[in-house]
Amino acid sequence: MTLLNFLGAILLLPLFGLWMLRLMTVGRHEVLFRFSLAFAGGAVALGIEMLLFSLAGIYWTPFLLVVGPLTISFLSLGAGADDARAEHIEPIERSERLYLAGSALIVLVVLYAAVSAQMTSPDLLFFWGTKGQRFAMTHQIDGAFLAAAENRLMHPDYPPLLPLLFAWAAMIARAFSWWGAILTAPLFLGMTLTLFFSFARRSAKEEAARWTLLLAAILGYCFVLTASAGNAEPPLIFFEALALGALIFLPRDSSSEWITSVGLAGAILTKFEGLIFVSLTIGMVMLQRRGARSVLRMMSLPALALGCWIVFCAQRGLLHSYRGEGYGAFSVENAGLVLGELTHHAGYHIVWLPWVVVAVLWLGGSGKRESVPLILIGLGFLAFILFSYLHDVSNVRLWIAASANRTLMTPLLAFFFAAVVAGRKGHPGRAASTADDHG
Amino acid sequence: MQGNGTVLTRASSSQLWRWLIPLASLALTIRLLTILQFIPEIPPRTIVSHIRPVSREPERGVLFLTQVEKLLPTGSTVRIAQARNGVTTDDPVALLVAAGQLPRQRVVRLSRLRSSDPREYPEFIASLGGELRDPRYVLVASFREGSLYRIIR
Repeated sequence: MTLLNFLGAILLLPLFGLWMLRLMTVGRHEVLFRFSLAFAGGAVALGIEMLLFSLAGIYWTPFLLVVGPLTISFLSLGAGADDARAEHIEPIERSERLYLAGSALIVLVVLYAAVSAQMTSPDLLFFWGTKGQRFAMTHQIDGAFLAAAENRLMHPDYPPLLPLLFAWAAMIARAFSWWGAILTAPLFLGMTLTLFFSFARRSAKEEAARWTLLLAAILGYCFVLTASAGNAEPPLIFFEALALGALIFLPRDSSSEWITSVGLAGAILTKFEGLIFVSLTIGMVMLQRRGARSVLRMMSLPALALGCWIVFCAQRGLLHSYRGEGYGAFSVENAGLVLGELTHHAGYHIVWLPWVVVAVLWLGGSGKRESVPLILIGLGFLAFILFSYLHDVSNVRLWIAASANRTLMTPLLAFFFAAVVAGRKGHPGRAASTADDHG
Repeated sequence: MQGNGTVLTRASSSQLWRWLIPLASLALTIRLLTILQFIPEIPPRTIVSHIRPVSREPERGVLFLTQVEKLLPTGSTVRIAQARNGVTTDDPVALLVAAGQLPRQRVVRLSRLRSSDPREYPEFIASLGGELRDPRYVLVASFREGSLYRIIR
């Protein structure tokens, strides 16, 4: 019963993010897309609200938490829906169904891996779940618990979104469900694929389903191999895909920029690495010369989210990671070892296939110039990973083994999007089929 | 000639592109299936029963703490120890796991036992593995995975 209530509370999150559906035209048949989009908005809204309450010293109650987001959501329902444009979004065609069925099958395999406890992340037991459980019990982000010497290894200042969502669900269920926490991984995977497919379809209709299958295979395999269930990678990838998808596939307007902003806020509030991703993405936006207003719009929500969290941590003396504490001095002495270990773990026990296939597809595309900013995000993130591991720690080999293959998923995602963008603009297949169409 | 060559190159690239995604997806999915085992018992006993690399240690720890939790009063202090040949050590990993599995208790470190003030001693010691040899503590219960001890007041 606890599991059902816990999952039920997680599945209620889209109710708090219905306003996201006003930011873009969504077809009537795009039910899963609506759910995923609203979920992202609801998760970010609830997370920021829980953080603000904790900053203000207000204890959470379910009623108190739902009032604000629900009111905003329902008020947004009345705002001008664009039904006429929604009609133009075509239903899924037969040619797409095979790829989508394949993607759904992969999600089911990941679900099996999760329920059979074959992809449980140790970090769920070490801190993600523990924090969520504790926050639910104390009805706040428990600063004293995070500051306790016994809990120093729990990364007290890691961004709190995942524990906050766990805490929300545990408050509703009146108990924490470890199985429920694990089952969020296939849920996030499914939503990531839904977002990608629906975004990509708006700009490259004929290929979106095919690319979605590849994304499902890459992420499904990586999530299971890296034991990511209950860890923060699935939500991080979800928010990163939302941000990149809106940035790349939607028209350049304020609405798509707000959607990007929600994705960036989710990423920055989910993992420390989210800050690096957001910085690189904002850098990419600046490269595209979108204008100061656009940049400010996209930065606003992540800046608010991170600002609140930094203030919370600073008030309670929890700022460690953001100050770079716990790491030794930067040194290139271990560069050979670090590069060797990183390369080994990047292989994902399948001879680097995810990287190779993405690289080949990118090389085969004719829109490589357009994809350069995404390549830069990926390379920038790789540089950050390398920079991190080059700091003197007691056992860098163990550190890399415990984290590298999960952390590498973000640059892999950026390169995947780069391949899609490169292929979208007249890749050979498209050129040939266009020629065929014209006889 | 040159024009035909371009068309042919394009056609073969097109074929490559058309098949590369499904083939790569298939390869990844087959590899995914090969790393998974068939587990007849769904859900398993604990969330760590089949983690990779295969190890019984995490499952043993979680099962032990689940049983211990039922015997511990809310708010009590407890120390998690690994006992081998009568010598107990602090296991930082066990400490982290215990904090989540014993949410109503306060999990404390070994250093508390070295305090000059006996009031600082943890009220309970959950010893994973061998038995605890500490005259300040008395056995409360034994399980297959370990034993629980209470301080003598």
